[in-house]
Amino acid sequence: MTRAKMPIVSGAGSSGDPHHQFGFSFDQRRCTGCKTCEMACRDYHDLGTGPAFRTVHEYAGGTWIQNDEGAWEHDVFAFYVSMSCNHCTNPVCLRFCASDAIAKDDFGFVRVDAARCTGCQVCALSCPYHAPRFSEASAHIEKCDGCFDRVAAGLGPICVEACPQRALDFGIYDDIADHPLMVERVATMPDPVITQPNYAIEPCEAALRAADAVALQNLGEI
Amino acid sequence: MVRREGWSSGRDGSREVWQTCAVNCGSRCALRLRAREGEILWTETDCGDEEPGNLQMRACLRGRALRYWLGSPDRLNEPLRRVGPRGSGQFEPISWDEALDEIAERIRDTVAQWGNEAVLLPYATAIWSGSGSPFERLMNCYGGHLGIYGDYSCMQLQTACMSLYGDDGYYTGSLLSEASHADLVVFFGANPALTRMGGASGAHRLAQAREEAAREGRPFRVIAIDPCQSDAATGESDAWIPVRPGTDAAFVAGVAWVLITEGLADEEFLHRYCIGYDGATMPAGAPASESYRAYVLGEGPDGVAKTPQWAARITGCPSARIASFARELAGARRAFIMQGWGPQRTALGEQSARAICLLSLLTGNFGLPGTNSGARERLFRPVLPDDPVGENPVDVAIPAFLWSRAVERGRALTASDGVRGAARLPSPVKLIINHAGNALTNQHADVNRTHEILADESLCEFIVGIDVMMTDSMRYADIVLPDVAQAERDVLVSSGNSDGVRGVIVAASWGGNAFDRRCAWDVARDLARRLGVEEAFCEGASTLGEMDGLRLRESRFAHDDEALRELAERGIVRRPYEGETVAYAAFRRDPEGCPLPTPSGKIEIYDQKIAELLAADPGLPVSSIPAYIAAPEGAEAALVGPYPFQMISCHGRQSAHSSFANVPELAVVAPRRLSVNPVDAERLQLVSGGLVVVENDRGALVCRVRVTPRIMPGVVALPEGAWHDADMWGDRLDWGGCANTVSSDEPTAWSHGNPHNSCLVRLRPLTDAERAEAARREAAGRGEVAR
Repeated sequence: MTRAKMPIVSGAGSSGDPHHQFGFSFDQRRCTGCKTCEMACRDYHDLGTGPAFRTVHEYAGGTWIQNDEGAWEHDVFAFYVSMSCNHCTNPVCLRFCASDAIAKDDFGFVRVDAARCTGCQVCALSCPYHAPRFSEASAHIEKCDGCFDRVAAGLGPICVEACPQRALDFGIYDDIADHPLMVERVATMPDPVITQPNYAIEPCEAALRAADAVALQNLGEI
Repeated sequence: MVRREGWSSGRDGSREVWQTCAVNCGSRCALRLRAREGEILWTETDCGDEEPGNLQMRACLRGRALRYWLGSPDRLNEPLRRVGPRGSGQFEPISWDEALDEIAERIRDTVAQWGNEAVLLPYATAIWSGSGSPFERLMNCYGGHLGIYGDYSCMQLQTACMSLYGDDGYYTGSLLSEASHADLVVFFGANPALTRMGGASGAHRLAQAREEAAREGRPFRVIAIDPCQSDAATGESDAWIPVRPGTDAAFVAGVAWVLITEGLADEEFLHRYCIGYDGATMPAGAPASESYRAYVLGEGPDGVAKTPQWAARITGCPSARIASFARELAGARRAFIMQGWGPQRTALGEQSARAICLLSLLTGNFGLPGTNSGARERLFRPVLPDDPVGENPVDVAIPAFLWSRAVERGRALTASDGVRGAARLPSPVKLIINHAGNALTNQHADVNRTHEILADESLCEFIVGIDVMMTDSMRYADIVLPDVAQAERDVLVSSGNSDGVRGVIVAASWGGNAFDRRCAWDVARDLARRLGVEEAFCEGASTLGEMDGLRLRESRFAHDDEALRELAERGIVRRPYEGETVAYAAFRRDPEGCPLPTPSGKIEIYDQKIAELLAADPGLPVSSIPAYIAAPEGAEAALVGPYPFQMISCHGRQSAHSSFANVPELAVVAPRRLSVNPVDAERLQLVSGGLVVVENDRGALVCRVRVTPRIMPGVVALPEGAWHDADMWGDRLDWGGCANTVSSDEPTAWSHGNPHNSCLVRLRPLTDAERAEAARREAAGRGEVAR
């Protein structure tokens, strides 16, 4: 059950459009896995080598078989998913937070109030997307805040403006997700029914076909 | 979305300046630095609304890590003099006057004793912004220096293009955007999504071509022929055809066999535009049996038919896939065939590079919309001319890759080794001025052997290093001078060499320079004064600002008032490229009126100069046609010898060569890993993230493994650029994971190029002692093993 909370920022800047649920979209056919989104986020939010707010998941699958010519047959495929907090409509992290440190703001961003966070990490364990991350440096949970300050000033989130492939986009979620090809789940991502993520993916062909045969390649890096 | 100018996000007092990283990826993307009191707070890029065709020069992850790079503890802050053995990295601080007095004296003495040919400015690319070297200008004012020609990037491809088309191929390929008129795109060893990651570069243009085709309901397929699965070929499993490194010419011969025997070759094109395809197109005096067609059909000197089954044994690619690819290629309305620089960076790279181009010719996909020459996509000359460095009065030059031999063998180096302008080298190299280069060791080859050459002070007697970081190469300098990073100073920068836009950025200083660093231009000028050539050095421009004025006046924007106004107001101007986008279109239209600059005026599949060389020395590992020749460290040798893996040293995302490779923030985002196929990993019990030793007769390195199906069995790939980190007076085990610890410095026979991707290795687990050392390093957060 969702508890009503006071927004952290009320009456956000005029050039953004408050009182709408914002979200990210991702054109998977364009993404080359370059990770500029993650680096730009680390730079802007001053994360250094600590936990990231946005990561790029590399998925790959397929097998190799040597034929009687001594040559190699394969059916290998790969694709990427760039993922941050999905600023869910039904965020489980918020429900599980015992100290009322997590709230949705006027943009629909799920944000952590550092002053209230006790660092218990229950939110991090509950989120199926592993968006809240515990920072050893600050001893509390840190996560993507949607670059609310930029959005309030009429800019895009830093990751969206950074993407060299123009694969990431951002806007009022109902608008960006209103496309026949958009899905909210590919490969081993959680069922969107759980949290209603505001993250729309335009999938590549391999991601649609992959299903069970796919494995996350870079678990240790995300 | 509406952009609000002057936004500062509560980080008050900051200001915004344009900059670029200016390292050698080839792009020079636009960075907007938010800086305050000499500190970069964060980095933005070229973004906002985008006009079609006028692509934003968005930076990649390295550009976004600029502040971490510039703030590295490896920065050089004061002049240093070597106190330990050369290469030991033991230095003491000295004053600028002491340093410059000593350097001037050594230059004066060396030139007096050995001549200007004894002074070398080696291949160095860490500042890649279209600005010339002030030290080259200095030496040109002081009687000159031993010249170098070619590069470490694509020597063999340049030779291949010169042989086939009569030019070096840098500026004559089709634009990648031309792929939008093709229905089949074929990449050999090309990953534009990795080699040029900026927003105005190839990968985005490829995506646009795909989307354009989809909108218009046209077929569009990308096939990558590559030992690793390129990001250009993700998404569809049959789009990747793995072949073993260095076997491209065998693959092409197998494809050609299908094209020829099934009547699919475009013989009308071959007969009109090429020489050397078959008996009818051989030059006078050359036998039909030496034609490419005879080679493929088994009617040549070796008598072997180059069937797909023959090619399968060499390439590791199933014969059925070779045949189906041949038929798909022949069935394409237009095919855009392109190669990266990986296939040619092999011991017989000239053969690979020519063979790949041959696929364009065999199918007539040449000089028409939607096609390419088979070489790399076109690079662009910088919009702004380089800083003029003057003429080198010395006309003796060596291949860039052969500098260490010029140090070691001196006068024994002859024209057959590639010496130009003299029958033999007039003098050994005795003094090296290494500005912004890490190719003395790290980015050269066979680091351990090169160390021996450099450490012997009786060979090269004096080395000056000028750089921003204490790289492995800088450790071999006798005097080290700290440069101001280009991204810290005022300079006009041209858009990059594979970007689809033509632009200029007014890069501005932001107070980041600190300590006792000095700009290389001012240092070279001070040396010019000491050497009595300051007047000549300052001729035309006495400051870098004046130099930029000269460069702008000679650029394409010089008479474009609107562009100049935009540049003055915004600090950046870019325009879409306008002009011919198809390689050799004029020749295709009118081969008689617009002949190629080859001896015959046609495309030369058969190289008569090589035929003459072979007549004199039949043992030379070259061929007059693009035939496959097995390399000593190639696919066949891997199958039978003690080193079963072919190792390629590809580009990585975490560094542009060795620039940025010391940035922990980038190593966290994109760790450097040795890619190993699951089949091999299972046999050797390797797991992702685990450590392994990679070794051969030349050396041994430690790195972490990534088990991935995206590389073929029998091949491992290590991104080059990692900083070499070994006890050179001890076991020399390289804990930095520098690929050149194991690479060969044996130049190719034809173009004297670097063979980095012909490298056989074995993998072994760490010994107990090595594991203990790894744990110590990890605990101390030291080096690559900690990442």
